[in-house]
Amino acid sequence: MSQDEELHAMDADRLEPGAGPDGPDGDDHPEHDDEHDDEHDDAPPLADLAPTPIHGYWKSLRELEGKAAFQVGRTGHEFPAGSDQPPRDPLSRRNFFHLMGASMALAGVGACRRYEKEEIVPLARRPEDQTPGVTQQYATACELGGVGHALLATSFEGRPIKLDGNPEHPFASGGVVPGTERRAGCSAFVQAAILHLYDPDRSQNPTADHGTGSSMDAFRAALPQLRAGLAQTVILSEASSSPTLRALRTRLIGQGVRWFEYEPLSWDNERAGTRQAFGRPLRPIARLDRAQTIVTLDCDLFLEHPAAMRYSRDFARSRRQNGSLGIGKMNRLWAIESVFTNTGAMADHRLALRAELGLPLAIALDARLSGGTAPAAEFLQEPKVEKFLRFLVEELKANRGKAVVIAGRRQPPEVHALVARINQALGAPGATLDYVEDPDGDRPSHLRAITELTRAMTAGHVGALIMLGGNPVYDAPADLDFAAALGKVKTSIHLHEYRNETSLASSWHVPRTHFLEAWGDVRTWDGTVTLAQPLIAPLYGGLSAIELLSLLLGEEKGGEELVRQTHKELGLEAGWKQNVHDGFVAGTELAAAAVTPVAFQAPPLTAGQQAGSLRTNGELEVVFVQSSFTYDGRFANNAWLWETPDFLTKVTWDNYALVGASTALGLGLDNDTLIKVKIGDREVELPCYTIPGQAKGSIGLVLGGGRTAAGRVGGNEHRRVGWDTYKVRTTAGWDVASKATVTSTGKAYTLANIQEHWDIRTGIGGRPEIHRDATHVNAEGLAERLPELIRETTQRTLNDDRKWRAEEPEDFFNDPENAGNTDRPHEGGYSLFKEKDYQGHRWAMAIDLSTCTGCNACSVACQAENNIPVVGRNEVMNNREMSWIRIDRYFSGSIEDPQVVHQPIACQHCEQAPCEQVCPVGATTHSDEGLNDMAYNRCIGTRYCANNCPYKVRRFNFLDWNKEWRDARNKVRRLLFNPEVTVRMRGVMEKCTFCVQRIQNAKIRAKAQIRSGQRPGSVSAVLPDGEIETACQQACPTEAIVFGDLADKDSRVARLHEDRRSYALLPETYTKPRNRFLARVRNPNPEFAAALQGGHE
Amino acid sequence: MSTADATMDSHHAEAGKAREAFRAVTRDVAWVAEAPRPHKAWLAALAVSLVLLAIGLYSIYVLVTTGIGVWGNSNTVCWAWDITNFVWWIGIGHAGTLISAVLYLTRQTWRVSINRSAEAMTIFAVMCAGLFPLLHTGRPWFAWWMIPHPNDMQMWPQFRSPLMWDVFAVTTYMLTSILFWYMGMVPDLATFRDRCAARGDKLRAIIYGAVALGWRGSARQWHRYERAYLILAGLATPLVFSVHSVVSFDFATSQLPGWHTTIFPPYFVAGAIFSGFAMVFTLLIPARHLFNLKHIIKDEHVEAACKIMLATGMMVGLAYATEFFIAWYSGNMFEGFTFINRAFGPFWWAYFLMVGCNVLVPQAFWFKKVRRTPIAIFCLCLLINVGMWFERFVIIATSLARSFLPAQWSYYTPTRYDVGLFIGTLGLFFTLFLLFFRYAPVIAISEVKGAMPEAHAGKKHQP
Repeated sequence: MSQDEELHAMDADRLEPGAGPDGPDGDDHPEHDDEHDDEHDDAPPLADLAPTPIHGYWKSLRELEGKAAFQVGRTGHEFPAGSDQPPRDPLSRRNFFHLMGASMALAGVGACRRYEKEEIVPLARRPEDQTPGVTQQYATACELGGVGHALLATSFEGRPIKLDGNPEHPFASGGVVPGTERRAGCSAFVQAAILHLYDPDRSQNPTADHGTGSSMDAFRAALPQLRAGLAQTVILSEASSSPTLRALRTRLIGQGVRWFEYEPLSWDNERAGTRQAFGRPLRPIARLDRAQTIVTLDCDLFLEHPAAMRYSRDFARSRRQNGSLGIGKMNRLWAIESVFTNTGAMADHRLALRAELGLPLAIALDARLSGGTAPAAEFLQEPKVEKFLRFLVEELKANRGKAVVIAGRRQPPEVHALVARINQALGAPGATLDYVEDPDGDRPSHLRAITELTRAMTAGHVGALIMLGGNPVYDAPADLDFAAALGKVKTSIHLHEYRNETSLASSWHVPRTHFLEAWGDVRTWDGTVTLAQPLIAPLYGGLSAIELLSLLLGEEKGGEELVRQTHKELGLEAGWKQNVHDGFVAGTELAAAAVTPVAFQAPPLTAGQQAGSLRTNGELEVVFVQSSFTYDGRFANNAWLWETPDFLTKVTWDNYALVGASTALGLGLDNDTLIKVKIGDREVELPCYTIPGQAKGSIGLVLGGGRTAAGRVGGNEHRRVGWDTYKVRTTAGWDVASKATVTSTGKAYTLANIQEHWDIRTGIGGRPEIHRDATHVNAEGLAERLPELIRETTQRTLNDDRKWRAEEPEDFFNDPENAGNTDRPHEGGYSLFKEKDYQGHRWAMAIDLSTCTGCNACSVACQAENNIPVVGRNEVMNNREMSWIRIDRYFSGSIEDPQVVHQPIACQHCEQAPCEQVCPVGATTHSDEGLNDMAYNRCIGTRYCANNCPYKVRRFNFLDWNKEWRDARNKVRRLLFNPEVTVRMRGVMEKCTFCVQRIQNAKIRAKAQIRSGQRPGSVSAVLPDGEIETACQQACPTEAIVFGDLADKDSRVARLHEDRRSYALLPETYTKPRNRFLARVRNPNPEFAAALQGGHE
Repeated sequence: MSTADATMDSHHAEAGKAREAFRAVTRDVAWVAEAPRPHKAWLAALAVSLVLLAIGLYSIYVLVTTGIGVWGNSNTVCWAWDITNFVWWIGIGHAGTLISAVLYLTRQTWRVSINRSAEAMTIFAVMCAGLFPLLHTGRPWFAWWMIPHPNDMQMWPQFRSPLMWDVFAVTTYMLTSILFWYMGMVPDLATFRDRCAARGDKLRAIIYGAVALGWRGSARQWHRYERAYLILAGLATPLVFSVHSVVSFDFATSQLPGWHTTIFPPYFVAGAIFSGFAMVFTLLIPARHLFNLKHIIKDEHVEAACKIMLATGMMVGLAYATEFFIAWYSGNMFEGFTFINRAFGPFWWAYFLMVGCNVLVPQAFWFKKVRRTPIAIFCLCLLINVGMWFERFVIIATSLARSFLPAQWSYYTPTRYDVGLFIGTLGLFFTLFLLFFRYAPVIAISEVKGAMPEAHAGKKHQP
């Protein structure tokens, strides 16, 4: 038996039967098959994992028991060690053999990286700008889907540990307006990208011939041959806004190279639409802060839009009704969408409509606003739609110059063109909307590019293909069969951080540097040139895209040199140092362009677009939805993102089909079952998630799951996370596919949902047909308490009723009859214990439910800042997720038109903390500044505190979640830990600390500066408001989270606590929380609301 | 001991008979320990118990080496089987002290036939109970931090915590119970010693002699013994009420709807006595049959206990009703929901098991025929034990699973290690009990003699 055979034999019992790779037309996941036994362990064979082998696998006990309820066999097993996942027992016999076997295997793998010999010498003198133990911040940037994001990276002694938005950046922060801080939000994806830097699964060396180990020298040696045939070379790039890349591209095209660009989630329809409307591709940038009426047409402004973080900020400005902090009149958001999005959840009025009806709807709007013939579409006559449109048009007409309509990427170019015309009619350009020249207007659309390229490849016209990032084998339209076409290309080179599906199908794979390891430049959505500087030398070697192109040109220039050269060409050389420091080049944003409308004809409507809302099976529409976990699949190996629950579904570790509740009832589909979605002759099986408020007849397929070569977290050929929905995404139905058939397979499959399913199904309206078991008790209980937990009001009430307060005054204590009651030691309640008298700082937080869009940025920020472990799919099912800040989500209203209410919940830092009283060893105590502190090393883990916490914010380490990082091969992941925060061991309780490490650092810094005379004031004085930011606050794009000192009466938090919208959660428990919520203010159109309430006109 | 006075002379013949009767008692109790071979049924029972104990030990091993995650507990339901078992065992441990101390003080002479085994049961039950607070901690190797001890960090336990009060209440109860049990056993251990010595079994004579603490049976010793026993009984009596009251504070002083209620102390004490008696008779009914002790543990004794179970069962039922009433009467939304959810929510099955076993089942004790049919009593006692376990489970798990914020609601399912540890404590309990039954005076010989008609001239007292 050879070494490898032996290893495989050892693993034989771990593999699911039939768990081999899918064939090209594989329509089923063998490992998801219901029939297969659950009891097998889950290791892929070692050979696949070399050179970073795995050892421990962690599973729940129930999984071991093989209980049907925990469908491990079907879901694929928990991800292996090395991911963000603790092992259960690293020293079991089997794991021991694994380790031994792995070491042996490693010895024989030629692909092993040999590190260069280097000498370590201690610093004789400390570098001037470095103090050991003190973090430093550098401006840098990253790119996602061809759009740059300005970042501020925190580095601790040479290793980056956190990413945030760059508050100095003009587009990211949007400047400072009264009542807001200088801050830039940072999306969950971008923040979590730092986890990839330290991912042990990253590719560490080039491979040749479809996965055989090779070296960078061998690759360099192969380059001259490639250079010789540049005329037959084609480059397929991810979308990129980089000026340097563009410069290199121009030069390469000059040498005969053909260039294509592909992104699976593309905003090209917008370009095409503006080309129709104005004769040239333009980029509309909405000025939401200036808009009174905002209409979205199948567009998620707050999560999916390339400018989501900025749009969230701008939108929130006028939503903030804070009395003294209030700014202007409140805007009104109308959302028309198929799938429920964060924007729909924030909307004042929402209309659920199939995506394909976007066109007739746009025509109808256009007709009513700018004259023209109304389309003949049945659904427009439906009372709900008719009423919605009537009031919307009325409002738009009344708000000319203060309104803006934005269409989403899924809508066809015609809709964008119509929307452009509507915006013209509304007088939006120049007021609430700017058009800027598309910086890369000439390139073909992504869909056309990939189609042409594949055709050329299939026809044998491509001699060599160089792919800069991307993963077209996985995410190109299924009908193109990119993998087969790639097989026909003699030389294919794939540059990527991971050895993914495309790398394995290419003749060469070259590791790409992480964006924190390389020089680069990007443009943010407004065009501002933003610089990316490396914070760390490449951990695993590799090249950046521009470096590879430079090699191809035979120059071999470093990234810095290349970027600087571009800089020089742009005439900016003088400011280089300052620009690198700031992270951007001021004044390089794209100027607003003057536009002249061009006449165009809206296309005729299809049968489906003329029909009503009701659809039968077989004519259903499928929309492809960006994943909140993996974007388009690229973040699949990111455990943080997989475990951050989707804002609306609250599901983790899976993608699924979103089916509207009534559609599901009609089709006999149910939650927690697998369904088959068939489009043409392609079909995919995946779990069903029924969600209220999704358009009738529209099925949302979430992209980005079912990867076969993502890594040990995101799935490999033996074990997958989620389901590959790209299998049914074709060029014809790329964004929206029609004529889909959905059938239930009847197979059970449990989604790892952090909130129970009952509220999805029965929390609304108590519809008897979807009641199950005893859940109506829960539905009633929920309906009763929700108005207590989440307070809401309308803008009108707030304006008209000056006495309105979110918090009812305590009846007893405010009753004049009880005024003389001297038993009352404190306002509003009693405590058995002596209440604390706070002398110094009184830290507190306020969370504005009006501006929280549910983007999850706070959750990921907290995870990164506080070293919060990931527990994995099964433990989420066991209700043991560890996030310190969670967003509770509830639906209210009817199933067809629900409203979403949500509430970010972290530790409330109660002054009368119930957790403190019950801890037998005093491990959780109160600080003099009002923080509820946790002494981890005193905690013995009775969990009584968690039982007694009314907010259920405490998180117990049920298992050793961090065991994995003690393993030598995963050591690199440990570099990401924030050294300021203890990594907790098993058996202790943890929870939000209000980022106590940041508070202490700010205090220490202030004291040191005061003592050294750098700063006026006394050591005991109050810190200036805003000097301390918690991680969640810093990441929040809308400033919904405000932290500060109540002792400072002028602080934002103190003023917000006094606001009439402010209320404490569960005041009857007399916990006196230091965190207060600000009631959500909705701003419905008064006439429309009245019409809806009256049930008639 | 022979004092030849006139009164004794006149009852000479009777005295002889009495002596014979006393000897018979000694013989009947001692033969169990003196039999050269244990009873086959005993051996079989011990084997089963040891297997259960082994399961428990394995579960503990896995628990301590892996973490609380091996259980079904979650961030929502932080306590489940662990604390359920703790409270259940503590409750079972109540009958012992009640029978030994309270019934002693109230001169219920029928107690003498069962008090020794009831006390032993108490101690073993408390030992089982004590395992759970220790093992349910995330880091059991630091559980000793709950005990106040001087240390260089000047760290003290947190005295406001009911868990802290538990430590004192349970430890006190345990120590007093052991003291009481052991002291009561001293004369009987001396009897065993003497009998072993008479048979020439030197080894046992030495062992029993050592634990008999030099008891000689002198009048002075008897005098002091009786005094001490009375004082200990007086001291132990409040404990019957305090221990379970304190245990109930774990819940009553918390914020959680379903826990936060003032009715808990009396309700828990009644339930504890209820379950304690049920457990005593779950054990003694087979034992008195196996070891021929029916003439000592008489049918009247069993009947009296049945009446106590009937009474306490109805108290528990009243408590259930009161909780519901108060939940409605308080007008508190969360409180009201908790109780409706208990009965009609996802844990309804546990609730109705509890009500059925604890309220409906004891109603059978209204019938004398039932109270006189050992097999029926045995079955009913088993059901009561089940019901009382579910009472604790319902209080703990259902309240936690549906607390204030609906987003955190969940369900609880135990794992094999939850079950394993529970089974293990049953194994520990039965193993200890079987060993006790074989090697110690299982019935208080001296007390039984004292309660016999023969001990009272003129037979004025009836046992």
